Amino acid sequence: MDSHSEQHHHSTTPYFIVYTLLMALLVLTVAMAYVHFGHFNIPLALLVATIKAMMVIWIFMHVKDSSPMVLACIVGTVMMLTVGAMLLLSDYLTR
Amino acid sequence: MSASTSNKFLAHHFDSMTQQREAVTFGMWLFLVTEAMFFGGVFAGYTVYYLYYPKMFHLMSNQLDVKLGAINTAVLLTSSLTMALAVNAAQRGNRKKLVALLASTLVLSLVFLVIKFFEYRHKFHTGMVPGTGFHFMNPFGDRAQMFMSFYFAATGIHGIHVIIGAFFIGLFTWRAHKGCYPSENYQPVEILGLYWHFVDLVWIYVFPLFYLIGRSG
Repeated sequence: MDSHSEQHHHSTTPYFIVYTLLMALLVLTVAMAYVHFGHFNIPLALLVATIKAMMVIWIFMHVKDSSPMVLACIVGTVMMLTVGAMLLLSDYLTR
Repeated sequence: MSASTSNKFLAHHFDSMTQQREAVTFGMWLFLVTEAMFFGGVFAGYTVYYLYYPKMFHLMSNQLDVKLGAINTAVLLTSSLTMALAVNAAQRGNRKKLVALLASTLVLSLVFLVIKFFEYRHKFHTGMVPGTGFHFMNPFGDRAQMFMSFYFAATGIHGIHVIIGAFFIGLFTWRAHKGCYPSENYQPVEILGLYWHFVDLVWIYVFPLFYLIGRSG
């Protein structure tokens, strides 16, 4: 239909695939929460959440097709949050 | 071949639509960076107190309603899908579809708020709101208010973001209906989408950290 139009007319298929995966991962997180993994319950839940977040950012938020500056924003945020958390915990956990 | 010729949607301080599009998108992302740092503060506080009182956090987390939390997660994820499809409809210049998808997103955001309202009301009725009204019997006593404080702070500021989002989605639905977003000017819808997906992103972390941490034992 829209062959080589000026703006990218993306197919909507990836959105439905991502949505299906997001719902599957939601079911997985809830199911995993009732299984005893000891200290690993929360890290595993955060891992699944991060996979979900990355799919939302990459596909729904179009970072896949955005300028590298946008990617720099995201990497910068993750780095700042990591440094902040490390400084905070190096204080509170060593008292 | 992209729209380098002048058009009425190109602001005078930009050379081309491509440049305008990149600048506007970058500006929105910078705003989202500050938003992420803002929510990051809540999660940092949560982490410190979780590490101090893990058993209390587990007990209090189990008082939240997993079913409602999971349904609300599904509602927000679905609203993100309808928003992504709305942006796509705007790109294609399909006004009818755009209006319908924005309206669906608006309805889903309101469903989220209604479910949240019933959750909050239950917490008020059972004396789980921190402050003088806190009378939830538990082995940790008043200290258990700490978890509920984080719960209300995190879901509260998230809820405010949902309300702001719902307002703008409503506004955009109306303006899309009036024909303000033809395919040459789809970008405002895309920026609205970025905000809405961010609100979804925050909830993706709020849900497991508040509703699921104590379920396994």
